[in-house]
Amino acid sequence: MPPRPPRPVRRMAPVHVVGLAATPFLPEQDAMLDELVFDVTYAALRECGLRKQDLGLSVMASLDVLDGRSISSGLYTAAAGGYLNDAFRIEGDSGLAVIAAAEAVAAGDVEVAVAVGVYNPEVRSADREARRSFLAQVSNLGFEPHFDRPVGLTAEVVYALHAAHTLESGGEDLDAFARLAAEEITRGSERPRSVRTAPVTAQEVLASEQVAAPLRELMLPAHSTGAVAVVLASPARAGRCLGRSARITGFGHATGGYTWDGRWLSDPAAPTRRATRIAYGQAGISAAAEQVGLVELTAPTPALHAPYLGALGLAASLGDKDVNASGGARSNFPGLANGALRLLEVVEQLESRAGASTAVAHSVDTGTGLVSEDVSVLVVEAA
Amino acid sequence: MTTTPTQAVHWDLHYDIHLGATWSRFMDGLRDRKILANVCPSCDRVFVPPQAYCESCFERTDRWVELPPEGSLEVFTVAWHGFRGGPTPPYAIGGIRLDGASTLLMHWVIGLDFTEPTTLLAQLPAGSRVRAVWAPQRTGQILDIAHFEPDRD
Repeated sequence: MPPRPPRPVRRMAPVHVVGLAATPFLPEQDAMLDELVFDVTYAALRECGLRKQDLGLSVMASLDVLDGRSISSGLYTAAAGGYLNDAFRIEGDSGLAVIAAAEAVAAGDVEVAVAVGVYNPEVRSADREARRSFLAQVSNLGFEPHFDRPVGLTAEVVYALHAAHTLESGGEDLDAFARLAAEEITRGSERPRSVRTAPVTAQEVLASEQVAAPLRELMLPAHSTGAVAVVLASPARAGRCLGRSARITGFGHATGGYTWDGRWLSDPAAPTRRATRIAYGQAGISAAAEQVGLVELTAPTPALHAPYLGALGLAASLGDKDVNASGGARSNFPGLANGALRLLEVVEQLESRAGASTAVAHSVDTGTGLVSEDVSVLVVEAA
Repeated sequence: MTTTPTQAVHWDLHYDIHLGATWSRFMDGLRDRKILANVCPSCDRVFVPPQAYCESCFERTDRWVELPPEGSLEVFTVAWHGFRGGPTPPYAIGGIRLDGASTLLMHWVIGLDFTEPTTLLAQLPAGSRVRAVWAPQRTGQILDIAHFEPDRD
C-alpha cells in the first residue's frame, strides 16, 4: 500500500522564550530531584520577572526508573510551579516537554507555561562503570521483554549496530567518525557548560575505550546530570516580560519504528525528517539552507551526524561553527534534560552572534537508541 | 574526600508478562524447532517476530508460514560491557533476516574471534549466511534458539 501524502502544515502563532535557566552540569548532583527542579524553575521565572502565580501550565520531563521512584513527578510537580495548577509529566526527552508547553501557549490555552527537564539518575554516577551498567540495564528494560530484552539489546548496542551498518555500506569510515568527535569535543572544551574540558585528537578518540564495535567512548555523548527550565509566553505577555528575546516559530515531533522493521538501520533520519517537515511548515521555512543560520543537533554517534543534518535540510549550507557551536552532545549530554539544553544553547547563540536570526534545536530520546526514537525539532528566531 | 550521601533502595518486582495469542503460537513453535512467521494479507510482508496486525496496513495477519532456520546477517556488533541481568560481555548481537522474512530478528551470533577488536566487523561482512542453533532444552522462549552461527556450507 503506497504511503499517503503528508498532510499540509499550518503556520502557527509564535511562542516566546522569556526565561531559561540551568543547573551546573556535573557527573552527579548531590541533590534531591525537587531541589534541582525548584532551582531552575525559580531562576527562569526570576529572569523574566514572572512569578509562580503567572504559570498556567508546568510540563516536566523525567523517567521513573531513573529516579528510583514510582510516579517520581509527584515529588517535583510543586517545584515546577505546579502546586494547585495544571501540570503533567512526559517520560522522555525534554524537547518534547518544551513542545507540549509551547502547544498550550500557541493554542491560547495558557499565557505562560514552563517546561522542565531533570536528569540525575539515582546511582553513584561518579563511578563510571557503575553508572554505565545502571543506564544499560535501564535501557534494556525499555526493550520488548520477549524477544529483544533477553538477547541484551541496549541503546549503545543499537547505536553501534547502526554505526557498523554505516561503515559496512561505505557511507563513512571510522577515521571520519573520530575526526568529527574530536572536532566537536575540542570546540566544546572551551565552553563553560562542557563536561569534556580538554581538546582531543582523532587518534585519542580511536584510542579511547571500546564500548560496542565500532564505537569508542569519546564518540558517544558526554554524560552529565542537571536540570533545565524554559519559560514560554504568548506574544502579548512576552511584550511585558523581562528576560530572553527569542521565539519558537515551529515545532515538530515524530517517533520511529521498532527493531523488526529495520528502517532505523537503513533510514535512521526518517523520524527527524518527519518532525522537521512539521516544524518548518509551521515556521514557514521553505528553503532551510538559506533561512537557517545555526543548529544544535543531537547526534548520539558520529554516524548519525550527516543523516540528521541532511534531514534538517542543512547538510551543505552551514559551516562547522554553525553546527553544534557548543560542542553538542559529545561535550555535554544531560540525558532527558538535553532537549531543553539544546534550546538554551540556540537562544544564547542567537543573542550573541550577529547575522544569525533563525536557528534549529534538535533533540532525540536516547532510551532505546534508534529504536522507537522520539525526535523533537524546534525552530527558533531572534525576537 | 567526602562521599555524596545516598540511601540504598532496591526494587524487587516480579512480572509474568503476557505473550498473547500471536507470540504464544510463535513460542510454541520454537519448542518444536520451528520458526513461525505470519503474513500481511495486504502488503505480503512476512513478520518474524510475528505481529497480530500489520502496523502499516492495519490489517490482521492471519496466515502463518514456517521459515527455515537460515538467513543473512545484515549487521552485528560486539558489546564490551555488561549490565546486571544481561549477557556476559563480550557478546555479539546482530540483526538477522531469515530467508523469506521481511523483518529483522535480533539475536546472538557466535563464531567470532574477540582477540583483535579492530578486525571484528570484517569477520562477518553484511550478508553473511547464518543458521539458528537450537538449545537442547526448549521451554517456549526466544532463547530456545541458543544463538546463530556462521553457515559455512
